[in-house]
Amino acid sequence: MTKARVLVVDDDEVIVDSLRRGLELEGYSVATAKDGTHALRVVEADQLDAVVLDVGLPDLNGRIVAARMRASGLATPILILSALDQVDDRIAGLEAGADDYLVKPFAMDELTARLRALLRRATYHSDHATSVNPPVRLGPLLVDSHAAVATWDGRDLGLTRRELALLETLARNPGVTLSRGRLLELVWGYDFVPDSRALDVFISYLRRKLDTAGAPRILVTVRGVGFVLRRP
Amino acid sequence: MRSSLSVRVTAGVLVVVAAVLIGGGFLIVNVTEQRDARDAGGELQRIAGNLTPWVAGTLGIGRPANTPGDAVPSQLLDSHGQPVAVNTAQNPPPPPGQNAPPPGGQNPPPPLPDAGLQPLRDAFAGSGDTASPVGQIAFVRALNTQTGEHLILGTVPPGFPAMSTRPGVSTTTIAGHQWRSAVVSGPAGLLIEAAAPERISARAASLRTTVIWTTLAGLAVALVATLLVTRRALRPLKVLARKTARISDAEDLGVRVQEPGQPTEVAALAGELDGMLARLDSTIAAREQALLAARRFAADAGHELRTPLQSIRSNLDIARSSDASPDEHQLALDVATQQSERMNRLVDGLQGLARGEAGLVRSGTQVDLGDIADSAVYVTRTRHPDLSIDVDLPESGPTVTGDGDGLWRVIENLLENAARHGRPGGHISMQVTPLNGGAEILVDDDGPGIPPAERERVMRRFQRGPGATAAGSGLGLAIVEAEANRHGGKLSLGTSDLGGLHARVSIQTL
Repeated sequence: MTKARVLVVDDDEVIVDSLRRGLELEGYSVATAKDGTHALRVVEADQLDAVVLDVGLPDLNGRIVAARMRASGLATPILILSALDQVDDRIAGLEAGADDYLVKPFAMDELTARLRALLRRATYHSDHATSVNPPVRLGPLLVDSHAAVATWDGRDLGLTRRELALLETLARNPGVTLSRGRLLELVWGYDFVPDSRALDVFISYLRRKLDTAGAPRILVTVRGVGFVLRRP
Repeated sequence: MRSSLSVRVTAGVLVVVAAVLIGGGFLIVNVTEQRDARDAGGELQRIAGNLTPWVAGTLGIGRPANTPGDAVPSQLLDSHGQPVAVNTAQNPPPPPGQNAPPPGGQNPPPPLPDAGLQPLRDAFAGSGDTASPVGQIAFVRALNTQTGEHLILGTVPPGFPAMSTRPGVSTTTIAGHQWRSAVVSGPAGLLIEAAAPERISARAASLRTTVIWTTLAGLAVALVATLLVTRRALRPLKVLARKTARISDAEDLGVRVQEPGQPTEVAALAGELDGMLARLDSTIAAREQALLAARRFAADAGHELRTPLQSIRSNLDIARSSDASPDEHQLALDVATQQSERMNRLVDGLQGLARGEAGLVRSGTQVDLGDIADSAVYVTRTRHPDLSIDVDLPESGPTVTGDGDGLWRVIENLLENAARHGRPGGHISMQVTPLNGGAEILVDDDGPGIPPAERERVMRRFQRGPGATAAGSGLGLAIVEAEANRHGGKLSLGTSDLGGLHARVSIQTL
């Protein structure tokens, strides 16, 4: 198997250098960029398997970089790095299509565990999406991961990649309460529990988008257990 | 341009006084004029009436027609005692514009001898009294409408219109002079007219002059009086302005400007100023306090960070040393990693605290506090699988308005605190309930708890409970309290039924 290629984007040279060495030790091939414009150029020119993106870039906000990558049709997993107090940027990054976030400082293990999982998920999806995942229909709700679209009553919900994967997973198990751990595993490929509210944030986005499209409250929290998508 | 209040008030008063005086004067002049005109008409009518018997006699009315004239006075006196023309004729009086009959007849009659002509004399003498609205009678005309006979006594000014056949008073202007005449009817179709130059305009003119001078004098008095009065009335304001100026000069916000004896309006203004000063004073005091707190915070933070930093530095030095055994080498790296973890938690805590102390949440969103608690419990359970966490949440809600991330940290910190300081492998109970439109978070543990005397202290940052280990940042409860305050609530500590610490956080719906 060839080495997976990861782009690390951060304006701090010391961080870029540390991450590069750490990731190379773990067997990744690493490209680096020091700002958003540079990153977008690399993304266009290089064949990448994942992007590690700092939100606080000097030129373009990480959220804008993520949005542009997604707009250009790039499906590569994006992992956002942020400081604790950059809550709004981090959340905006997820909304723009990033897959998860890590709060600085983090242990190298945390980064590699996430990258491993996200890469596995991405490969799995690209190999099996067409054959294994036919569209799911639940009344007015239609989730088509192959076409990368989910609709309610024919109206596009405008989901990001990760939101779509989360909704699809829930929709394939209608009425079944999936635990947080199970969802993290099925949607993100995580076999660990991230020390964050990322899952809750994605759930709240899904709820808001379903609500905007006119859907009733079908995505429900079952406290102490997990989440369930009720049949509409 | 800015003008002083007293000048404005004075100007206003002057305008009003001038309007009143001028209006009143105009009214007085007008009314007097009208009354004089009426009086003049009446006087002329009276004079003409008095002459009626004499004129009737002269024109032979009431006597046989064939004995004319024996009683006709051949001469009349004008006001100066000079003889006046008497003209009797069968013809009507000359048309207007034609000259009056020539003075004196062809046969000057003898002087008037008797007292029977007294009314006529009186008429031509006029009253001579300046108070009378009528000057001297200039002429008297009479007309026997049955015979066409007429009589003119005195001098009719050229251009004077022919005698009116209707009784009444009229005014005529001849060569810029006003004339007034009155026609009265006598017996048997006899009409008698008395005319005199108008005297009213002159009287009105003098009255007008009086009014103008009175107005000017009144205005002058009003000007001085108003200036003096307003100056005096505004003195408290000036005093207030001086006092306020002294405050900004001396930068002493403790001074108050309201005092007894100030007029109501000034007292109200002074009261407002005092209120503003008090608010300013307390704002500045609060800001100074906040600045002081921030300085202390920075100093504390620096001190707290230096400790793990020192440890990391020492251990890295050991690791680099060629003398270290492989075991020592490994231990040094482990300790360095551990200490960087501790620094990490410290920085997290400091940032959380900085956020929490940044003030009330202003634009929160509707968040489900139960869902947030559920998520925080999940994370804590994963971190501390040996603990049993008993959770009591409603099926949904309570919904509060706030910052979801901050509220998550409140619950996560409370649980983490209970996990760290409770009994190892012990029991934690967490409950979220709606309360007065807001919510209440209760977390209990079965650890040693915190003695009442210590509770106040542990809520302060960098203060650890009596049995705390180095792993804690000493910020957990300080963060909880700061976040609770941000959400209009507070943290209180007590003794749990489980035996350990009971922490209660109230959240207001903003």
